[in-house]
Amino acid sequence: MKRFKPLLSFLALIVLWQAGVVLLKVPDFMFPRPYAVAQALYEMLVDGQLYKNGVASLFRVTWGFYLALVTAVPLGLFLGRQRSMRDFLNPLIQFLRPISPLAWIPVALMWFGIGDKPAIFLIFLSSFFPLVVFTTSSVLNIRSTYLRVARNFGFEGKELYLKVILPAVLPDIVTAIRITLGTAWLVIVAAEMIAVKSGLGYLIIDARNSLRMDRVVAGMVAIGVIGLVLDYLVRFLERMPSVTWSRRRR
Amino acid sequence: MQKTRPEKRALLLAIVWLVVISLARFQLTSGGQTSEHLKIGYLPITCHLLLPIAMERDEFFKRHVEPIKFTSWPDMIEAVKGGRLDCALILAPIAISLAAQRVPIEVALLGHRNGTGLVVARGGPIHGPRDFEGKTVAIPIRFSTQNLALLSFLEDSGVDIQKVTRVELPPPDMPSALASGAIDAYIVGEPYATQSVLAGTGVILRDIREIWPNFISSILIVRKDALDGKRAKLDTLIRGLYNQGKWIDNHRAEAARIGARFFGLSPKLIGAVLLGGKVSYEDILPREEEFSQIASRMKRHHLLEHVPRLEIYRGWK
Amino acid sequence: MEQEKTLTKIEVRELKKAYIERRTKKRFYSQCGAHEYCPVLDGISFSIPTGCFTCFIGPSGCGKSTMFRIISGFEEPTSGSVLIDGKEVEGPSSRHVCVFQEDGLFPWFTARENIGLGLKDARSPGAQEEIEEYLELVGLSGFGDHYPHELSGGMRRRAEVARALIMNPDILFMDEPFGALDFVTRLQMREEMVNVHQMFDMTILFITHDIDEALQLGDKIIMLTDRPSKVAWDLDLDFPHPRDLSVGPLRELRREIYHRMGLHVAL
Repeated sequence: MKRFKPLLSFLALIVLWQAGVVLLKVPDFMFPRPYAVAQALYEMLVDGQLYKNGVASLFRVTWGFYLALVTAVPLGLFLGRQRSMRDFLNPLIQFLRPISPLAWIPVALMWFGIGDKPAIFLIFLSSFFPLVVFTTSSVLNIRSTYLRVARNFGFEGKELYLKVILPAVLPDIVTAIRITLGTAWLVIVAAEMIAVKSGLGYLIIDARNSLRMDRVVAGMVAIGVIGLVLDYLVRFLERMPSVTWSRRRR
Repeated sequence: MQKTRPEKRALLLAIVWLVVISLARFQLTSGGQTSEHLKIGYLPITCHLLLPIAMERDEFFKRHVEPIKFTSWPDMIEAVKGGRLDCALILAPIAISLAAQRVPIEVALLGHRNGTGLVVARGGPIHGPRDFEGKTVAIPIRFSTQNLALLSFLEDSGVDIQKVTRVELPPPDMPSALASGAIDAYIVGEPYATQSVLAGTGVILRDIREIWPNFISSILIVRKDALDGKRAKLDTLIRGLYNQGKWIDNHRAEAARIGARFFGLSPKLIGAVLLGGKVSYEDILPREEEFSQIASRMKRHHLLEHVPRLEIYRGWK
Repeated sequence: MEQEKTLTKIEVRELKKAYIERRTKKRFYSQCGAHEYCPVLDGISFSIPTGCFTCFIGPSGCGKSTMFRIISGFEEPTSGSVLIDGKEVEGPSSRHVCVFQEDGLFPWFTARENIGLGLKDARSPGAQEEIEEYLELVGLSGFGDHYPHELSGGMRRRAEVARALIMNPDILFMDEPFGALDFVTRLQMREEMVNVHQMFDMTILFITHDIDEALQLGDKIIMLTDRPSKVAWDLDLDFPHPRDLSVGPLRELRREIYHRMGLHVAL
């Protein structure tokens, strides 16, 4: 029974939606019926629109996010250990962090034109700064006892990072991954409404311009489903023993 | 001890995913669209109808041209500035403003002539120019001949333009904004003027020909650096578009069908625009004096600081 | 054996340590009073022979842990010197292993991985065998693949002791290692420490707040005064194990320690 509860809530939403549309006599161009959306979804699945644009969106999120991950985490580890560099760079990072990636759209278009690159750049920005900040503060929060043990055993350089610092911050990094990946998925859709000519965001804006509300809502459904799947996959990371210890520790 | 650790498996999966998604992406985009293609920017408006007709009827376009659809002017402006497009169908005042910013472009053709309407709400408060005071009018973007036409229409009738609120809206949003009462009138290129008429929510107060005869909306611009490298191809492209103009004038019903499919708009709507004779492809060669007229109007309304020289490219003939 | 014990392992001379506290922090740290200069250790001197099990007792907050950090090389003294084997201490060394007051096992590693931490090639079969021996030694065989959060407090301490012992250190520093354990477990650990000391014959420095623990374990007890601390009493105990504290000279010593610490309890 417990397993079906999420399905039940979706079912309730659909029933409510259908009832609302019928009772309030909402015309299809204002908000389509569930059946029309399902039909549009099927249509887009068959003609490959969903696959093509979904792949485009996921491709950009993957590259943007991976690039952020491989640059932000090492930088965060470094800043967490180097007080002088932290004092130097932290104000800059804190200044750039609250600027919405969407505010960078004009700049991204100017630098990279249209296509994958500006979108990847925007995703990179949306993930990079939070990841640096999360990683840095996580390194600063490592228990001093662990660092003393490391000194006692004479760990330095690579050994210190691999055996102590990286494992100590891994749970925090996984949490940060989950949060920033969610943000990245939000940003890609917004970015694709402007900066590119493919992807799920573009699919929606294009459907709107050709006055197809059913396809607009179908696009929203697709975005939601992929977002759910992404979150589900990251949860697997949270189940690794090297991550679970931080929640079980007394 | 020797069984794979979950971290290693996660890392491996992450890498596999990267490879899979990248391959899927490249397999989808490698449909022949290489940098060899001429990139032409456009918006789904009938001002840009020449392009879909050429894409449908001209073998050269099918093989060598990649049309890039934009949904707003600012995005296209940035793409032109950044040199990501070889050529573009773009509003004439934008082209003039780009020339003033020393973006290396030249004008090759006009999109068409006329094809714009000033629409007011049916049964609404506006019946003549004097009624515009205190009302809200939507324009596509301030750098548009539609805006300049509206301003001169109001000024010629002695209306204080300061008392008219102008808002910039994407053309597809204008009919619904008018229907909902968010705006009182709008001036825009087709088919978005006719759309309100067909929906019964708006009437055309003035056809553009009554305000500005031989009106120019969008033009075809080419980047000079693209001309240096791909001149022969660009010449063929311009010739192709020019010839399609002649064809459309004689095959309007068929042109409407093709255009509707390409833009994803209703065939009835495009048909009404083309068969209603609202647009003209008779004379789509640019003339210098027309551009200096537009530029001086822009300067008068503080859209330009100085009148630049927008060169006309005639080498394709 | 008797001869070895007469060799001096650790020589501490006139050790002083003071922290300079910033004024803003004062409000939270009343012990420093109005002075910015905040002395913790005020000239501590003692020497410890090789193989000696030395227990340090004293009021809480008297600077025992600070003194440990200086002797083990984690901190610099303000003045004075620490000599180990006649040489000035320059920093932490894997020959002098510490078991800290707080849980020092890495929670991201299993017990086995933790114990193998200091080994050069922990994955090799030889090292694995050695780790297994030490797991057995501290009564943790069968728990090697457990993570620290899956072990009880006593088991975690044992694993930590094993991690230190496998390094075969010259000196083992233990800072209130059993302070957080329940009473029965503490008694068990006490017994095991006696065995460990007899088996390995290393020099052990052991901080405790439990006077009975010190009396049962120590070959030597060094009692410190309240902060800024000095050595109050340097006492050698030469009694065989197991020791019964309720009779004889040990009972008298216990009474004396209580008395010197200002405690008046009927014993």
